[in-house]
Amino acid sequence: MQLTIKKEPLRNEYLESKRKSKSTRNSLLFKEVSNFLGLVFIVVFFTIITKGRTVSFANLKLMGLQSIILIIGGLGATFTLSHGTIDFSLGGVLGMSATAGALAGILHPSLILPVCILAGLVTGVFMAGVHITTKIPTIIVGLAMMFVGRGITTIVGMKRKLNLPVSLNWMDNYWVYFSFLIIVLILAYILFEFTKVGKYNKAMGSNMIAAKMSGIPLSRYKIYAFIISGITVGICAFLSMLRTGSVDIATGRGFELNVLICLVLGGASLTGGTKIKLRGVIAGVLILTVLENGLIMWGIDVNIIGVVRGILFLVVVGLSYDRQKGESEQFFMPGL
Amino acid sequence: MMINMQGQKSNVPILKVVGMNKTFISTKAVVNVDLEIFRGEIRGLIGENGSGKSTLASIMAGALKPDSGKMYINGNEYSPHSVIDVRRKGVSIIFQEIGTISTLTVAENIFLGKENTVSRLGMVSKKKMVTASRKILEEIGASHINPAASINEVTFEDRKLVEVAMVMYDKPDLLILDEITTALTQKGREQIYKIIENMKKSGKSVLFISHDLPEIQRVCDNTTVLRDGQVVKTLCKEEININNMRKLMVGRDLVGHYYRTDYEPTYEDEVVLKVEDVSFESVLNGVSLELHKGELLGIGGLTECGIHELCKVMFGVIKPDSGSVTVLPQNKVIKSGSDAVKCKIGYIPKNRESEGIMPTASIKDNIVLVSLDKLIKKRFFITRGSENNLAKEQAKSLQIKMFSINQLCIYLSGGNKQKVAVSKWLANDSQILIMDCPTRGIDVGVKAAIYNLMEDLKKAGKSIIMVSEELPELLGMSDRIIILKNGKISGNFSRSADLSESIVIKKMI
Repeated sequence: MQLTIKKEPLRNEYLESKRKSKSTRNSLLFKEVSNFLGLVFIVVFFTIITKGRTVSFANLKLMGLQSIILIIGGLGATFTLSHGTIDFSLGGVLGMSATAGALAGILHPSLILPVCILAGLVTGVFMAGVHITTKIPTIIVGLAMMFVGRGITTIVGMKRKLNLPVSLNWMDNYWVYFSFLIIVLILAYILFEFTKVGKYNKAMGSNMIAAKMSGIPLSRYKIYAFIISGITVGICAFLSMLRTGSVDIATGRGFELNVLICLVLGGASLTGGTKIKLRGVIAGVLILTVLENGLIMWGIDVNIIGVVRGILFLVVVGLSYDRQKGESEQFFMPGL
Repeated sequence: MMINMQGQKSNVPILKVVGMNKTFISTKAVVNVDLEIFRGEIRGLIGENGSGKSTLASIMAGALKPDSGKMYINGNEYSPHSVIDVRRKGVSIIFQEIGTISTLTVAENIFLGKENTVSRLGMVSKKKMVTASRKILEEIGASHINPAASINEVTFEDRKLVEVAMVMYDKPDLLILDEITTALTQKGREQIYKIIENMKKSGKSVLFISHDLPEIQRVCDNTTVLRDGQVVKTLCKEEININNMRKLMVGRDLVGHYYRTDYEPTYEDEVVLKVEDVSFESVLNGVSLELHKGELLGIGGLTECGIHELCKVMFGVIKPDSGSVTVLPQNKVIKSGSDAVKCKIGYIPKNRESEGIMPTASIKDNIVLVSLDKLIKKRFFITRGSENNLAKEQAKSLQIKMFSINQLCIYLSGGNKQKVAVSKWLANDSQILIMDCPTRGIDVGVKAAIYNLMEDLKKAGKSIIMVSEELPELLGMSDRIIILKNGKISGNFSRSADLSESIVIKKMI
C-alpha cells in the first residue's frame, strides 16, 4: 500500500511563493520602468538646461554614432557577462584590433574589416584558452589582456600614426553604422535568446556548479561567448577607425569601463545569470550617452564627467543591491 | 506547564519568547510565537520545510532581527545585537550549513573571535590555544581530533564536532542545534546525543531542531511543532510519537507507509550501466558494479566512504584515475558530463542548492536546461513555446507547487526544489537516474512523492541508482544494496524480508 494523503495539500506554500515571486517580478519591472523614467528625465532636464541644444539634429546624430559602437560592444560583452566574466580587456583588444586592421589596410583597404574581426576573434579564443587550460579566473586574464592590448596599441601608435585609407572615407556614413548595428543586434538576439550558446552561458552565470552537474560542456560554451565578444570588439575597432579616421594611442582607451557601466545601468547583474536581458544594453547605453553628452553641452569640465561616471556606477550598483537585500538575507537562512 | 523533573527547581524560564513576528519580503516566516524553555530541558522544534524553525532559532540566537516581539533570558528582557552578544548572555547556536573556516587549524577555528583568552603579552599563544582546544575536545568526547591539524584534514563529520567545541567553550546555558545531525552519520549523532545529555545533567538546556522524528523521540523531553510560522502544539514526553508529530506537522493524517511493500528483487537481466574497477585518488579503490534495466540499486556507506564521489564518476564529472564507466545500450564509455547526458543518464546531486538547481533562475529555465537538444531537433531554434510546453508538462506531472513556471526557484521549499532537480532529467527522458541522497532534508509529504516516483520509473523500465546515508530508505526501496567502506565494496545484498539494518551496518563499519 502506498502512502495516501487525505486532505488537499496545504495551499499556504503555494500562496506564499506566489506573493514572493510577484514581488520579485515587480522589482524587476520597477527596475525597467525606473530606467525608462530616468532616461526621460535626463533627456528633458538637459533639453531645458541647454535650451534645446541637446536635441538638435546634429547632436542627436553624434549621440547616435557614439551609442552604436557602445551598443555593439555591449551586446558582445553580454555573452561573457552572462556566464560571469567581467571583461576588462575590451578597450585593449579594441585598440589592438584596430591597429592590426590598420596595418593590414596598408596592403589593401578591403582587408581592414576582416582583419579587425579576426584579431578580436583570435584574442577571444586566446583568452578563453588561457582561462581553461590554466584555470586563471577570466577577470584576471581580461585585465592582463587589457595591458597587453594597450601596450601594443601604444608601441605601434608611437612609431606612426595609422590613417584610414582615403578610399574608405565614403563609409563614414550614418547608414553604414546603422547597418552594422542592425545586423549585430539581430544575430546577438537570436544567439542569446534562442540557442544553446545564450542559454548555457546564462545557466553558467546562475550556478556554474549546477551547470557542470547538468552535463553542460562549460569550456566549449565559454569559448563561444568569448568568440562572440571578440567579433563584436573587432567590429567596434573598425567603426571607431571610421569615425576618427585613424588609429592612435588613445584608441579604445576607457571602452571597457564604458561598456561595463552601460551593462550595469541596463540592469545586468555582474555575476551573470538568467535574468540578463539584451534590451538592457540599449537602455544602459542610451542613458550613459545622453547623460555624458548633456553634461558636455552644459559646459561641465570633461574631467568632472569622469567623477560623475564613477558616482553613477556606485549609485546604480548600490540601488540594485539594496533591492535584493531581502533575498540575500533569506539566502543566508538555510531552513527557510 | 511543560516542566520536566529538573525544570521544577526554577520556575523562571531560561529563555522566554513572547509575540515574536518576522516577515521576509511578504512571507510571514514567524507569526506570533510564544515559547518558554526551562532549565534542564531538552526541547525539540519540528515542522515541515518553510515552517519557520530556522528563522525562529536564528532570531533567538541574534542572527536575525525580529519585526516585533520580546525575548527574556532568565526573566530579564533583552534585544540581541549579534550572535556574539547573545553568546555572552549564554545562548549559542550551531547552524546546519555554515561551518568552519577552511584555511585555519582546528584550534584556531575553536578560538575564533576569542583569541584574547589565550594570549600572552598581547600575542596569541599557539601552544596555549592547542592545549585549551585539546581539553575542550576531550570534554565533548572528540579527543580523536588533533587540534593542531588544519581543518581541511579533518572529515566533515569532525568539522561539525569542532563547531560544537567552538560553542561549548563558552559554556552556554542554552544550546540551539539547527538541524546539525542531518550531515552526520550514526557515530557522529551518538556523540551529539551524549553532549546533549551532559548539558541536561548539568541543568542546562538545549533547543534541538531536526527533521528526523525518531531522533526527536529519543532525545527530547518536550517538542514544539511549528506549522506556517505558528506554534501548533507543544507535546510533552508521553505524547511524543512519530504519528502524532507527523500529523501536527503536516496538518493532515498520513496513512500507510513510504516504502515498497514487496520483498522480492524485480529487474530484468539486461545490464545498462557497467562500472569497471574505478579508482579515484584515495577515495575510491577499484569499484566495479552493474546496473540492470528496471533496477533500483541502493548504494550506502558512511559519509566519507566514497559513495558521493562514485556518483560523480558515473556521471562523468569526475575523471577516475583508472577504470571505466560504460553505458551498454549505446556501448559508450562515459568521459564527461555531456557524454552522460547524451546517453540519457541523469544525476541529482546531494547538495541541492549549490549543485542541483540554479536557485536564482526560473523553474522553466531549470527544467529545460538539459533538454535543449531535444527542443532544437523539432525546429532550428529553441522557441519560447516549446520551452514553456516542456516545463509545464513536467511541473504538472511532478505536482510542483508553484503559480507560474517563470517563478524563481529560490522561493520554493526544499522538497519542491528537489522536484525541480528531478524533473529536469525526466524532461530529457533519462533512462538511468543517479540520485545522491534524494530525500535529504525534505519533509514527509515530498519524501513520499519521491519514493512513489521512483517506483513508477522502475515500472517504466528505467534504472535508478540511489545513494543514501539512511539505512531505512536503502532497505525499504532497493532491489539490491551495495555497501562501500573506505572506497571499496564491502557488502552486496539482495532485497529480502530478512535483511535487517544490523546486518548491513556490520559491513559499513
